[in-house]
Amino acid sequence: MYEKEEEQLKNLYDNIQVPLDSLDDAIFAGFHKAKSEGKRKSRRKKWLVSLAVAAIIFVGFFTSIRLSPAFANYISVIPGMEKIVDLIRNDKGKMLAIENNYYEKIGVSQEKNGIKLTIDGAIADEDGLVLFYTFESKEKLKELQNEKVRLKSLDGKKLDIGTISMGHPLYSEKGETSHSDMFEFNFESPLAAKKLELKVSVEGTNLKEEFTLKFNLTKEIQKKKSYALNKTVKIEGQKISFLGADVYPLRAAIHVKMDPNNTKRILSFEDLRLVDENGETWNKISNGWVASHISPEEMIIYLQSNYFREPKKLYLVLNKIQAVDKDEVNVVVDTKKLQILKQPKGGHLSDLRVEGNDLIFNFHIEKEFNSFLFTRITDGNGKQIESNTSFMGGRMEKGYAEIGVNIPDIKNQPNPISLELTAYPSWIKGNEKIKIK
Amino acid sequence: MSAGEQLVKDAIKGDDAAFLQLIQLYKIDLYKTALSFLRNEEEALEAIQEVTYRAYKNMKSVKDAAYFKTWLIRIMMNYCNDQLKKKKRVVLNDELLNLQGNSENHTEMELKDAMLGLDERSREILTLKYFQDMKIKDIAATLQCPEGTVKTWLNKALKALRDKLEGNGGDLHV
Repeated sequence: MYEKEEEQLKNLYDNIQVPLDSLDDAIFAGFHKAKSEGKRKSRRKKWLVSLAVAAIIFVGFFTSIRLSPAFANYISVIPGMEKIVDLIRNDKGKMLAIENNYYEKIGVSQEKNGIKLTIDGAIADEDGLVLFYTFESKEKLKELQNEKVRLKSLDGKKLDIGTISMGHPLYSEKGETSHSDMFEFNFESPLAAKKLELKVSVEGTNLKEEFTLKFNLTKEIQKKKSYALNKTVKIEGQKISFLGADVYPLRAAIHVKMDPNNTKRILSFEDLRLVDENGETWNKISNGWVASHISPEEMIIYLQSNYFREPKKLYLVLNKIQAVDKDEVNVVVDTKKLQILKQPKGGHLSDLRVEGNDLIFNFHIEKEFNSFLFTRITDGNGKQIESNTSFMGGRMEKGYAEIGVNIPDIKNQPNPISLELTAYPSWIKGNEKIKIK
Repeated sequence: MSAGEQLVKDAIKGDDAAFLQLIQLYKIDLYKTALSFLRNEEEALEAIQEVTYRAYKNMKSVKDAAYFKTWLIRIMMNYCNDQLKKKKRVVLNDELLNLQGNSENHTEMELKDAMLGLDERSREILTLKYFQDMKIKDIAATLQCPEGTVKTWLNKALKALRDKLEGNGGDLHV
């Protein structure tokens, strides 16, 4: 009946070229990722967040953006740019900054005991600074982790750091002689300092070094573009006001405030995006700092920047928002009886268990869900518990992920323990388009 | 017990060499599956990496060594489906497909596009049947449903594919 189709399907992938070497590299990389995690080491970016900033950090999967031909051309003529582009391929805003010549080359380095740290270049704006760096070593390094990163103003001008992202650590079974990533700083007041000093402490196998690098920022810092919005939308009965948008070269910051009378707590604006008159879209930051919470009812959402475009029209568009009923905002558990006393409708969490000081749930979800669920943890007396580590394993064919938090001295913490949600697979949906210009 | 099944048992016990041998054994099948879903080499390779990772992490959940390959392909298809949804990319618009739709023999490109325009289940079943050359019985085990259901789905999938190819596909946006 469908012989023709069947025949074609059968032949479709018979004659493809299989890139055997790359295939083996990919298998090797996957295998070693699994092995090194077995040692319970974090391969994630390390962050330092000042207490004043309630940052929501999202560790997403790397989704790369295709390079435009013009951009590919541009980078091919500048030596050393490929590795930098590899680091920012998931951020259209940063790519536009480079394409518009807003990247500045720094090229300052220091060598200590056979290891050299170079600041390759920088992108700076009032709100943030990205430093691209490379470690090089004559001998192959299997492990290298940034332990401490500090940045100091040398000209007495303002440098008011809110967060630092230190980049990914290097773990490699076969060893590497070069490792590139970026430090990302965000400021609480506009950056004014031009002469800076960076101190980086690194640790690895039998290795501990501190590097000190002085450098200058020479490019004129582009001023943000601010738009007042003051527009309220209503989605499934929840009122949300968009107060304004600040667009910086490195990111766009959207200020939103929720109506206190809303029945739901808004957790995350999952698909908020900028769209111009041609339908070109700038999404949320896909791997990194996605939002700051000013209060449960007020937040700043960060999007990839379209700063270097001059669209005739620009809109904020959104279709779905993560939200839970306000009385369901906490997951409450008893760590003695190993019971989940309270969780939002849908019952995504089950099989509560305690392993060492880790409190672990099974998190049932049909589709991949990459956000970590919990933020503040409080004990039975309402006292906040400081948790240093949390973890989440990916959804597997078994249909659930493991999600957990480390609670120091868990046996002696008064029950019940409450975990406040910061993400949850429960959405309100609408179709909103807010005009920016 | 086949040599393959012994490898699976060793791998479940934590024998890394056995695990790597198994992945070597099925890497071409995995790659073809990834390619049929994701359409480009770079993403297919990324998928191989992730699936190797997931398989290693979950070896202990392999229940029946005889079905290791279907277990592995299942992980790959889950991953690919999630990727496709994440990208929410528009595969082809109707107009373009209608233009291409009436030629006598469908080109490879059309066929690949049409595959991507199918629903998840149809895509999976066609992949297993024609790219992995699996028997109905094995597909039933992979998808955990009766063989009769597989046959019905397979027919529906082929019909949907033909409809897409002939341009009656309606909404092709994934």
